Amino acid sequence: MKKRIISLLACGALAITALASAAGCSGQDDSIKLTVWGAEAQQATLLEMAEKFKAANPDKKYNISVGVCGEGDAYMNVSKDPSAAADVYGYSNDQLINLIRCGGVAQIGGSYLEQIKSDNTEESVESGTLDGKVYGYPYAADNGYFMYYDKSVLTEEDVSTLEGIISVCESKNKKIGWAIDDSWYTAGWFFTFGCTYSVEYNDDYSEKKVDCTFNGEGGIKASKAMAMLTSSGAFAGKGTNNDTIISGFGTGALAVAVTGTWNADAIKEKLGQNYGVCKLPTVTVDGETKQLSSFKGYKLFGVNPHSANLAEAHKLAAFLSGEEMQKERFLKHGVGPSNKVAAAMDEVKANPAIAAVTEQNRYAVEQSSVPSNFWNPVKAYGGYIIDKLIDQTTYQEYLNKMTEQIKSSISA
Amino acid sequence: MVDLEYLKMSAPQKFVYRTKAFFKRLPRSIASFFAALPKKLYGCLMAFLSVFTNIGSAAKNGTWRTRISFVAMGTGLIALKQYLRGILYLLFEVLFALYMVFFGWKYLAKLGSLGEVACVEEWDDALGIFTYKFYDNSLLILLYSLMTIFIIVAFIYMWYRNVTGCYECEKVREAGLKLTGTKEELRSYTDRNYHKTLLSVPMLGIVVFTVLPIFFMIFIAFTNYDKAHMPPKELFSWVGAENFVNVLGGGISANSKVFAYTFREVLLWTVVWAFFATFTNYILGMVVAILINKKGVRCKKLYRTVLVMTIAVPQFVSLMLMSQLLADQGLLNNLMISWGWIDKPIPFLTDGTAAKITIIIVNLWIGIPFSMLICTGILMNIPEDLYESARIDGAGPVTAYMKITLPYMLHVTTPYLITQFIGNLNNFNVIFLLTGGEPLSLEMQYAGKTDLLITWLYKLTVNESQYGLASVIGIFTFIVVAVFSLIFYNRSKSVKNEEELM
Amino acid sequence: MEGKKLRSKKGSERLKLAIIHIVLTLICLIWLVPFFILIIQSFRGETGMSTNYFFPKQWTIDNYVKLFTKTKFLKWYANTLIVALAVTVLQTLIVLMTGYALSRLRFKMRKPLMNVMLILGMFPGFLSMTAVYFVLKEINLTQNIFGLILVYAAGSAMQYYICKGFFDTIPKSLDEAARIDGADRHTVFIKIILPLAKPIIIYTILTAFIAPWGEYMFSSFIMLGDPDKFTVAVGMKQWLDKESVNEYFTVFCAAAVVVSIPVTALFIWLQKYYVEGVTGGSVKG
Repeated sequence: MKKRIISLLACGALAITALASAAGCSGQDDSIKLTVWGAEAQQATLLEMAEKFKAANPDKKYNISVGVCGEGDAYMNVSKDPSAAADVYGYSNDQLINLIRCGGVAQIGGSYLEQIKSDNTEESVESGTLDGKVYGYPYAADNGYFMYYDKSVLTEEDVSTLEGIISVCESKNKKIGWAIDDSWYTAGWFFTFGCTYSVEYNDDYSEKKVDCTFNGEGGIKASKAMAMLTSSGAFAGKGTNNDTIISGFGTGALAVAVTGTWNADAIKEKLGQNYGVCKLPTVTVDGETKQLSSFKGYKLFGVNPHSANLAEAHKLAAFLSGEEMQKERFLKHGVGPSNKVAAAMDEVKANPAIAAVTEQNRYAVEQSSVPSNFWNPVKAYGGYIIDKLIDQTTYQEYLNKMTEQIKSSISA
Repeated sequence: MVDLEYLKMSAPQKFVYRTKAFFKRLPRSIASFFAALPKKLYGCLMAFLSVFTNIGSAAKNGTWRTRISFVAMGTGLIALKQYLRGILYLLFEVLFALYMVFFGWKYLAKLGSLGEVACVEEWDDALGIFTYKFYDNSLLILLYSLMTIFIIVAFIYMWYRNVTGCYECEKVREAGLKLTGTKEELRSYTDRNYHKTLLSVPMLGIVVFTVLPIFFMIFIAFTNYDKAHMPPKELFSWVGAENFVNVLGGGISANSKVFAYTFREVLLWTVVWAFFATFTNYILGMVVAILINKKGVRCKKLYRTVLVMTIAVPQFVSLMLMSQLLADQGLLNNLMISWGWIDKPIPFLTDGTAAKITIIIVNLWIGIPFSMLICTGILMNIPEDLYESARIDGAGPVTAYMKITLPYMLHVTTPYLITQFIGNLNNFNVIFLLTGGEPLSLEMQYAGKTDLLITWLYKLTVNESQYGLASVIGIFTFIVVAVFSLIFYNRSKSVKNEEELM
Repeated sequence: MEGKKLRSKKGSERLKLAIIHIVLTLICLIWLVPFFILIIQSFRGETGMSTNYFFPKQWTIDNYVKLFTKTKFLKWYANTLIVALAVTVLQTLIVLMTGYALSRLRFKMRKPLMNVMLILGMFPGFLSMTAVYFVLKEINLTQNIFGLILVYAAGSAMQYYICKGFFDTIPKSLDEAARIDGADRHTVFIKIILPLAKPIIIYTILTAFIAPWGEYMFSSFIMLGDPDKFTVAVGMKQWLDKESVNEYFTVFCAAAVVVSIPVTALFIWLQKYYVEGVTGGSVKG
């Protein structure tokens, strides 16, 4: 018995060593190795684009591999070990400051810089800029949110005001999917009523001073407005996300949802003819009517300064963010281009979701230089509102707590 | 209380009494733990001093062979024809020298400052891009310096063994005795020194991948390693006990108070959770085991197999599935709404109190199979005649359970309970995958109402990159858990009577 | 009189048994619900997770087809299998060696060593994850299956506890008899102890084999961003990320079924030894 076990174990060890070493080594070659990280949904497209890049540069031999990393997770993954991260990766511009701090993103200069400045909208280049230095190749200008609705339930007039939406949905027993407990969506309510934040940085980009007026009068109004929505029977509840929205439209439980262009195709498929999009509605608080605001942002390709082929990595990033690729990305995934020519395409202009986000962006706040301890307290506050843990009498007290936390990041 | 009174008590009373007594004794236990420390330390000191006297006598009384061993390790032994040991020592010295020259020294030299220049950015006109050169990486300096220190300690130990070993051999030869040959030496590793053979590889693994990283984290607690000081872009530096002061609430900023409050809240829930998770699983698991074991129950194996299956399915699959099912807009709530049972979703995982209860219940699903298995085996060992005599005395099943089953089980499974309790203090999976610590609280920093210390630590490091602070909390947690469990273990009977029970 | 009493006692006994059977069946059903859901959802044609109906409107095996043709699941599966097998071999050897040494051999540092290993096991592992990563990096084992195997195996000595407990229950007189016959300690270990240790060996094999399938934190760190090197846990976890959960939830369920089946089968097959091992080992310290 024991001999059998031991010999089995030994054989196993040998076999595995052989297997693993076969799996571990691959042949050496002189090709230029580059890695690109992008969102899960766009993996296949990225691979195709890599092929096109190779075709466009036949003089060199490239070996390009693609990995998964959502634009929102770029910092989390890059900061673990920048020297092992991808040579080129997509990030959303709220991550810029952290990526700079951890040395995960290279500055762009010279002809590359001129190219992106002339090709892309000014705001999109600005979103990848800190202290006049540019750190990203913009490729998407639609990182914002707006409203999707079911035309069989609501008319165009209904969706122009929050009050209208709520009353129709209540009477028709439909739900409104709005992630009040996700700070990216919660913050828009505060901006609507004039709340702001700002950050001053030291030379090493640690925070010198954070200002935040979320606990002012605007904060109270925002709380009342949110409570109006969340206390309604039509509010879908906590935990609204891409999946609940798409599934909700699919089952007919939802009539309205607030999300971005990345869900456009899926929602269109579920709603069919009744697919409707528009900017966010107005809201009336204390007799004052305001257009709801939102966050807007951009997505950019960052180049890793640790890249062994830094020049080639810049070339690839420039290619991936170029006009042609932005067009293709729009056609395949409905991503709104930041490139001026691509954005002026007829197809883009005819796309209702892009039109809605562009319209909403006029009222939106740029999500750059967000205080480092911003997302958690705002999310918590949204949760408190939904759970009715606070009311008119205690809004101020908890707004103060939230603002206190935003202002004081523990470090620096 | 005298023994007689104790014996008269029913089993739960006994248990309560013993628990009470344990906690009453606890301060004394802790005190005696620390009171024993000086004695132990004294013993260590004496052992340490004896090292020097040994070296001294080796230098004074040894021949040239011992003396050259002071410089060239192993040469004395080779001269004494102890080839195996001698060559190994010599080889070790050479490797050590190479390591220090080519690797260790350059890091160790920078340990004090943790580096001077981190990263330089330059415009390269030929390539048309900015190029980057990375120099000092504080993280690597600290880590590899520690590694070097470990290796130096190992070297000093080997050097000492080499000198004294050579001296011993000389003494043996002077006494006219024969030295052990290489063959005999080798053979001792399957017998007299067998523990060295068995333990060297496992210990090496632990030292490199557990002890070294732990030391690393302890040192990180004294630095300002955080989001604004991230290698390789920036350096971090020593800040003394600043992080400790901040966690304990003594910092200047209002934030330090919030942080200290968070620490207390999270610690409290961690202990409450560990207690409930351990005992609900244990008691209910035992009940299930008793039911299955009952005479006359059919398909025992089937029931057991069904329960055991849950152990085999990866926890992240079952837990993530549960968290999706129980979400506010998850399948369960959606179904109940569409059936008209409820109007508003039940906040299984999104209300502080409800989430805590849900977590403990879901944990039952995970834990009961384990405790059921453990209890099954032991239950079968309880002598049947104990129950028989109880039945003759007129005891019902409940009394029998209280008088016989429970005390027996508690007695036998104390070590298991302790391991479970400690495991639950650090139970990352259940909380992280079910709620992720949410719902968040405005009173706490970077933490939610269901966060355990361990999940909070995870957020502080992975999401917030607050390594310095996280290490401090890690150290505190570690000390509390370690002291408690050492006392528990060393008091528990089955450990004490290790030899007798054999 | 007597007979009636007996019969009624018998009747109540039967009733009791019936209730117990019902309770146990209920418990088993509750325990099976998640599996049931997993299997049903893996055959669902509609994507998404937050539905308001239980049975699929459209039954399909597309999820399985997609799993094997359009994703890297097979690669991840192979990776995990290699890691699991290697860790099983190494961990079993290490745990048996450590358990035997601490149970049977007497040497100066035994007690302190046991205490130290006990304490080390309580340190929150991922706090030191960065350090482990850079140690691996120095020996070029990051983004490498070997690195993962090494990390898993290196910590396994700390799981000596149950194994030592099991060895403690084997009567010492057996060793002594063999020692008198002139066997050395190595021979005793191989010839006397190991043949009796089948339950604990199988227990160790099972626990070691299962762990890599569910471990997420270390593997995601060490395999950072290289999808070809992922284990199933890392790969499947990203399907449940916000961006992809709608599209991939049903595929996730299919993958979970594929992962669970062999492990569960193995478990059911070796259940008896697992129980013997765990009860033999865990009750004695």
